[in-house]
Amino acid sequence: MKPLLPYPVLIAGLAALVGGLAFVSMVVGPATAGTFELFSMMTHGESDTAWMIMREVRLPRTALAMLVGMSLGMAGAALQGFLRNPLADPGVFGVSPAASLGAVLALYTGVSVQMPLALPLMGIAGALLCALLLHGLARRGGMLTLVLAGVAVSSLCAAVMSLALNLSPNPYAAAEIMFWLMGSVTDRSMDHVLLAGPLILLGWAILGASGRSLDALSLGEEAAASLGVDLRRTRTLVVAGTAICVGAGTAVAGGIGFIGLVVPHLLRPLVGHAPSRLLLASALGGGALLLAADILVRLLMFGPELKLGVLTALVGAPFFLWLIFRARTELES
Amino acid sequence: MKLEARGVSVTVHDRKLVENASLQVSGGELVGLIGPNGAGKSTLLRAILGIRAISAGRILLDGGDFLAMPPLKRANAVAFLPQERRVEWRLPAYDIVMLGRYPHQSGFGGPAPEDRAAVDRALDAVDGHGLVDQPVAVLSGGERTRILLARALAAESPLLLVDEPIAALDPYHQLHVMEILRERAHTGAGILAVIHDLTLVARFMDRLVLMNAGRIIADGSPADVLNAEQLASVYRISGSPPQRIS
Amino acid sequence: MKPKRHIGRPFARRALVALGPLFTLVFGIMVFQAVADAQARPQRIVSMNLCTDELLMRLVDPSRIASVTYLSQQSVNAPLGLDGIASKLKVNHGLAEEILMQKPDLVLAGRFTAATAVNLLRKLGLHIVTINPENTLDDMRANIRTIGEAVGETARAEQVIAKFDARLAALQAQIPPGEMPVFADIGVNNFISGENTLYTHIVNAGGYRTLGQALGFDGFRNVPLEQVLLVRPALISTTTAWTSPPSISTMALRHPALRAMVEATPQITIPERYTTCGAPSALGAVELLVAARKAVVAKVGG
Repeated sequence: MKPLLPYPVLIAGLAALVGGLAFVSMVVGPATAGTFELFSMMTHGESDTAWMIMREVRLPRTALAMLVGMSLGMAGAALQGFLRNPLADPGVFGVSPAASLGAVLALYTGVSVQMPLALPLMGIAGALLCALLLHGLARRGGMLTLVLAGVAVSSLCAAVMSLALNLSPNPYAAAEIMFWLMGSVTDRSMDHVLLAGPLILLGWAILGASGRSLDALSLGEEAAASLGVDLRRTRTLVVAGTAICVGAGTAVAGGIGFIGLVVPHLLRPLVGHAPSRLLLASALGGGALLLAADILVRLLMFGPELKLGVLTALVGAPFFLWLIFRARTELES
Repeated sequence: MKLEARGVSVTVHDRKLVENASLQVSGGELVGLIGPNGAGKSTLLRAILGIRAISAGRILLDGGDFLAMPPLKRANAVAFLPQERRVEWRLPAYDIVMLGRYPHQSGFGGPAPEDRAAVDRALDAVDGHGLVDQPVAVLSGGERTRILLARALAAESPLLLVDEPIAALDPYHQLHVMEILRERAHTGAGILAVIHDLTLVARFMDRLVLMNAGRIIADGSPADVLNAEQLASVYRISGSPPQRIS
Repeated sequence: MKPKRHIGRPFARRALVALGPLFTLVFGIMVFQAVADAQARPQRIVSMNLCTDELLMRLVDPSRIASVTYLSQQSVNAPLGLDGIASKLKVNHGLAEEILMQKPDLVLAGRFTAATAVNLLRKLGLHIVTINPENTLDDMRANIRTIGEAVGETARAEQVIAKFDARLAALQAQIPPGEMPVFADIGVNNFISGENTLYTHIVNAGGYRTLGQALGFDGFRNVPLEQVLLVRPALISTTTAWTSPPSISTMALRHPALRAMVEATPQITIPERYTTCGAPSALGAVELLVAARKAVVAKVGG
């Protein structure tokens, strides 16, 4: 059961894939704007507009797809490793719904019209609030308390979001909220990248620090503790890291599902099943997948642009089902 | 090195799982912790390791407060093989054994040559070299126990606590594991093992500690501990005590 | 001859010397004004919202429109009397990138449409005018004036409003006096329009009260079927404000409890495009409602 590729080769390959897709993402425009029209603009004396589009529209979009995808992949791998459950995903602690709720409240109250950046800021505030709540709970209770609290927080956030939809002043405002919830990185600005980027990097650093403990945890909590793993510290790292990077990502991109669930599954055999090695691999895999999805969204345009979260769920769910069927003997053992 | 529990009690919801228990294990000896189910043996092991909170008493390592030491320092001194044999994910056996080196590693740059050497020695001890590439999940019970034991041995710590290392093994593998433990003790390690098989205990252990209902009721040579009255009162069986053969 | 010429030349020269600067000045002012005019009046206008699409197409020459939404090209959305214009225009899908490529000097957007793209475009320095969705016909008049000012067509905006008002008055003159009968538009999930919605204002302009007004509530609401049955409408709609071509909107009308009422009541179909936006297309709905009044009166009279 040795992995087919040596770990450094796998990482280099995935990094090259991410780089390549980022390049494609910078080059390919929406089908309706003329997929490759930028080239002809550059060679026909309109390079100012072309460069502005590259710098101000495609660069933030590409950067966010990469950052958010990597966060989802890494957090998914960390959570599955920590909970020792292949069904865990970054939504499990209710961080994503809390971030969504913050953003929805910004939309609902109209604050986002006065100040566009209020939307991601309130999303981040929602995620951090949820993380603090979980942290408070985790100090007393165990893992089960944390997951159950996550379910409760998710349900509460979903309920309040439904309430906002229910009470929204007109159908247009409701539609705006719903579209936002579907998840997208279209037309974000560099402001979004600068706002979410540092938090996302911080979240990665925190998650990365948990890596080795996750390996030890595959022997069970008692054995891990006897090996010198500080379980409480590990729990804090995983919860805080996930909340910060996924929360910040959700705040700028909306709800994007299935990346955090599917990517770790895909890559686990390739890293020899070690949770610590899976972190980086899954981050790169998540980045590549979301970049690819965002490119696909542009090429598949027939009418309004598909929302990224819709596409990942649409492709991710059947794929996940197939994965479960194929691997069911493995999962049961 | 000497690990000592002094007057340790573990209480959960007003129920005393371990009450005022004192024992010690030193380098070079193989000590058996025996007693019927529910006597508090596993709880005592966990309490000594600091995995379970104690309500009274102290744990001392060479006279110093063991529980006050940082987790990695503790792990360097005392290795532990829990009863739980489940391994998550399909990690290959080699990686599992390497996890025993966790307390020695910095976390950067992967395993050092001395880590690989220690893992090789541990695999030698359990005769596990043929299993290294297989996921532990597909190994048989005996193979899995050997690999997990190798994981505990790979730490090469001066003290080793093992919880029921031979449960669910066939007689051949039981003997094999007992021989590994004795070998390790005779090369200087102090081992405290929870074991149910009284015949093997009598045959391999240097000293026995007998627990019942959360208390330690005997501590001494196998011949002293395994006498007819003790067995009759604790295990509710009668007969002549097993003889030490080797 | 020579002196004459000499006499004449200095005169002409003097005249030229005197008139030249004046002429230059006048001509210069004219050119300057034309340029300034062109600068003040945007020449490459993009509309990112279905409702601003219609107002824009009514206010400026198609040559000044850089693009409208792709929705406006769909025949179900064709504004009243403007068929064919949108199909000759370029379209956008509310994406920042395609709009930047069209290099607009003015972008019209609805307050709730493509907010992220609008924010990005604003940040990149584009001139953007956002309008609120219309809740009344006065909102519509205000929005026409806002856009008229933005595109430099204030006079034409007044013309559009005057033409709308004149046609509306002519239609309303045909409405018999007395209490307004109830017009029932039962939407998906019994979604019904009450007081203070654009839809209700359009229906009122056509001489009817909506079911929601008869039941007495504000805004849009889901109403239980038994409550719907309490009101006897004079006219029933077979479409609703919430339908698209594959319509399930008339499902409520097929409910057994409603069937008797539906069969006994005159029906009309008001295309959705007449009630979606606060725009002159609303006259289409008013026309249909006023025309249907004859059937209602005949029914009531008979």
